[in-house]
Amino acid sequence: MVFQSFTYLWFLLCVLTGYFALQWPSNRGASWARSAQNLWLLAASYTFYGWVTPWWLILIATTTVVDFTATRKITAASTQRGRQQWLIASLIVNFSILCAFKYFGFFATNVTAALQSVGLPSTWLTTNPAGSFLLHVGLPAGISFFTFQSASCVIDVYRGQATSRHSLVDYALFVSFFPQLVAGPIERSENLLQQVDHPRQPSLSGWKSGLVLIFWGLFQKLVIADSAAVLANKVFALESPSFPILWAGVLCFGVQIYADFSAYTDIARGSARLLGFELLKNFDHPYLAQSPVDFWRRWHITLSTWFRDYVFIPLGGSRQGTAGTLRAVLITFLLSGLWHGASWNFVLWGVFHGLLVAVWPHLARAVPLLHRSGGRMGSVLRVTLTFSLIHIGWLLFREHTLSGLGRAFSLNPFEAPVAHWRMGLGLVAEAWIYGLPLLIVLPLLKSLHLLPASNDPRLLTWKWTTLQSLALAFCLLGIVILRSSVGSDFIYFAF
Amino acid sequence: MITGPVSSVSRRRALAQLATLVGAGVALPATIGHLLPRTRTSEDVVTGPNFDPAVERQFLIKKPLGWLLIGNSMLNSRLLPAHLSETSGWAVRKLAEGGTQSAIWWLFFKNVLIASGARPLWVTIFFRESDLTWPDFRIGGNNAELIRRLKTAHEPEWDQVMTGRNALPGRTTVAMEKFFGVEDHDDWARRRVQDVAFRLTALEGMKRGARRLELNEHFSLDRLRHDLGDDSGNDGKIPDARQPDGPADATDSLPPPDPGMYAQAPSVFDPSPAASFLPHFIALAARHDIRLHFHRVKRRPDANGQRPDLPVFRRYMDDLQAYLKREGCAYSDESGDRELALDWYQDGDHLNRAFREPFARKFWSLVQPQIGPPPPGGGRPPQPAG
Repeated sequence: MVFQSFTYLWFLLCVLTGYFALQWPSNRGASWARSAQNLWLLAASYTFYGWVTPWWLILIATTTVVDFTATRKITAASTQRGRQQWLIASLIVNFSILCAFKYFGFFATNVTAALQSVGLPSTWLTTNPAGSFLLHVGLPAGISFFTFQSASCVIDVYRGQATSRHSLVDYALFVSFFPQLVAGPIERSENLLQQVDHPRQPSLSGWKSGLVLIFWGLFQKLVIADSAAVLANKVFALESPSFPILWAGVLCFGVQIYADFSAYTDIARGSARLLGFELLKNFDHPYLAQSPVDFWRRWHITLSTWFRDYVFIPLGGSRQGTAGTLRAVLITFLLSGLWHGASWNFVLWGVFHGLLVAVWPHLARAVPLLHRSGGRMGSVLRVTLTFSLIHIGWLLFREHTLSGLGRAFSLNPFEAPVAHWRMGLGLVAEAWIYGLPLLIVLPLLKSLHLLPASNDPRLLTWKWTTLQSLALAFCLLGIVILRSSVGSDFIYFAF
Repeated sequence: MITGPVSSVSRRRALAQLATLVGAGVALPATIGHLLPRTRTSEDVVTGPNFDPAVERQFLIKKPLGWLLIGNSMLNSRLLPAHLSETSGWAVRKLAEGGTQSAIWWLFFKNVLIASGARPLWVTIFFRESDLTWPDFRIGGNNAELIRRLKTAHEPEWDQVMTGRNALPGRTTVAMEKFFGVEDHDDWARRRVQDVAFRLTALEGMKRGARRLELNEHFSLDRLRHDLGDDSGNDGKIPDARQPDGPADATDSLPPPDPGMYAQAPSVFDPSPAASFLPHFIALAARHDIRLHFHRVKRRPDANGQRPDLPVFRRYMDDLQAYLKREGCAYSDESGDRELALDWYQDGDHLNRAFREPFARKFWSLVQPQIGPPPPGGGRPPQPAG
C-alpha cells in the first residue's frame, strides 16, 4: 500500500477509527487501552505491509520473533559469552535474510561473470532452485529499514542501553509500525519502543500539525518529486546526452530524490502524529549543508546515525590516527552505499561520499574560505561547493551502469551546441520551479510551529488556526491542480 | 511524545478549531478550483494524441477489411499492415497508439471498430504478459485524454470493470475531481509552469511552441538508449509533446523500469467480467461474428536471445491460454522464438523498425495455421453502422 493513494487514505481512516474506539471504554484503564491499541496497530501494520505481497509478512515476522527472543535471552543470560552468542545469532539471521533477498542477484551476477571469464561452470548459482527463487521473487519493500531498526534494538539491549520487552506484540509493533515501515525514519528503541510502551494521548496541536504534515508530504511527492522525475527520467533514458542535458537531468534528479524521500518522511510523521506517536526527524535542509559531513547530519539522519553508532564508532571512529579514521570512514560509507542498492554504482557512490568526508577537513585547512570561519562569502562558497559535490554523487546514484557513468564523466561541455544549453537550462528551471516550495514553504511551516509537535498554547488560538488552514489549503490546492499524472513509487521503497 | 491537550482550551473550542482547519483547508482550494478557467474550452488545451475516433471509423469503412490489428507500440514497432497484407493476402488494418493498454484497446474495439460498421473476419490484439487483465494500467496522463475522446455516455462494460475493480478509491478520485472542479487542470497548469521556465531561460529568442518541439525532438524514440531492458510503464510526456515521427511510440520506452509498477500487475488470471475487459472483448466479438486472436510479444531478451518467464507469470500464462482456447479464440506467442534475438530490438521491448518486413513474414508463418487463407478480396465489405 502506498501513501499517495486513496486506498491509504481509507486505510488510515479505518485505523484511526478503531484506534480511538479502543480508547473509549475508559473504565478498563489506560493499560488495557494501550495493549488493545497496540494489537490493533500491529494488525493494521501487517495489513499495510502484506497488502500487495502477503508472503513478505513471513520475513518481517521471522525477524521479529528472532530478535524478540534474542533480546529476552540476552537479558536473561548470566555470562558475557551467552549474551554474545545471542547477539551474533540474531545478527546472522537478520543479515542473512537481508543479504539473500537484496544482494543475492548482485553476488550471483558477479560470481557468474568471474567464473565465465576463467572458463569454469557458471550457471549453477542461478539455476539451482534456491538461486532461481531468490532471483525471481524481487526485493521485499522496506527490508533494509526494518532489519536495521530491529537489529539496533538487539544491539542496544546487548550494550545495556535498552531493556528487553515482555510483550511480543509491543516488539512486533516497534518493528512493523506502518507509517515508517517501508522507508523510515529508522527508529530506535529509546524513541519508538518507549512510546509503544506507554499510553498515547494525541493532542489537538498534534492532530493539526499531523494533518498539515501529511498534506505537505503529499504535495512534495505528487507535485514536486513526480514532476521532477518525469524530466530526470527523460534525460537518463537518452542514448547520448550532451554535457548540459545530462547535468540538467542530474539537477532534476536532485530535486526529485529530496522531495520524494522527504515526502515519505513527512507523511509518515504526520500519520504517526495522528496516532499520538512522534517519529524521529530525518531531514534538516540537506542542500544547505556547508560540507559533506554536514550533509550527512542533515540527510537521512536516522540512517547516518545508525551507521555512526553501529559501524563507524565500533570501527574506532575518529579517535584514531589518520589512516585508521580514513579506513573507518571508507568502510562505513561503502556499507552505506551498499545499503542503498546492490550494484556497483551504489558502491561507487558510497566510496565517493567516504572520500569527500575524509578529504574535506584537510581541504578546509588548506583553503581558508572552506573553513567555518570564512564569513558569509565562505558560507555561500561552502554551500555551493557541497551542493555541487552532492550532485556529482547523485549521478553515481542515478546512473546504474558503469558504461553510462564512464560516458557521463567523459563529456566535454565545450562540445555542446547552444541549443543543448537552452534545453538543459529549461529543464532545470522547470524542475526548480516545482521545487521552489521546498525553499519557501518549509521555513513557513517551521515558523508556524507545524513541523515539531508542540503544545505551545499560542498554537491553539484562532490566529494560528487560520494560518494553519491557509497552509493546508495551499498544499491541497497544489495537489489537486498540479499533481503529476505520472505516478511512481517512492524511490526509497527500493532500498 | 505528545502529551495531553492544553487544559486552558476547552474541548469544544479545540474541536471547533480542528473543524475550521479541515473545513477551510478544503473549502478554499475547492473555491479556487471552480474559479479557475475551464481548460477544456480554452484554445491551448489539448496536448493529447492526434487520434480522432470519427476519422478512424471513416478510415475503417473505406475499403474491405479482413484483419484488424490492435495494440500499442509493441505492434507499431513490429508490423506495418502493408507488409502483412502483401505477405498474407489479407486486407489488414491497424488501430494502435503508443502507450495504450487494455482499457483503450477495448474502446478501440467497441467504439471505433464495432461502431464504424466494419466487420473484419479477424481481430488480433498484441499484448505483453498480464496486459489483458490489467484494466487500470496506463489510463492516466495523455491516455486519460484519449479515453475521454473514445468513451461514450453509455459504457456499462467500462463501469463494471473499473468500478468493480477499485471501487472505493476509484469513486473517491471521481468525487474529488468533481468537488475541486479540477478535472482537466493538470495539463493547463503544467504548461504554465513550463512557460515560466522557458521565459527564464530564453536563449536566442525561440518561441514557446518551438522550444517544446525542440525538446520533443531531442527526446524522441530514436535517441533513447538501447540498454533499458524493460518497458517503463510511464505514460508521461513533456507537456504538449507532439510526435514528429508518427505514432506516439516514445511513451513506451522512457525511464528505467519501475519495480513498484510491476508489483501491481495481476499475477493470478481472473476471467470474471468485473476483473478485465477480456471477457467483454470475447462476448462483443461473438455478437458481431468476429474471431479474436491474441498475440503475445517477446520482451527484450538477454544477450543469449532468451527471456524466460518470471515464475509468477508461468501459471498466469497457462491459465490465460486455457481460457482463450475454451472461448474459441486463437493464440500465438513469439516469446519462445530464439531468432528474435537482441539485434532485432531497438529500445526496451520495441523491435527495430528496419525489421518490420521480415517480422511480417515471421508473424504470418506463425499465425497462418490459425488465421487461415484470406477470403476473396482479402476481407469483408463494411456493414451498416450499429
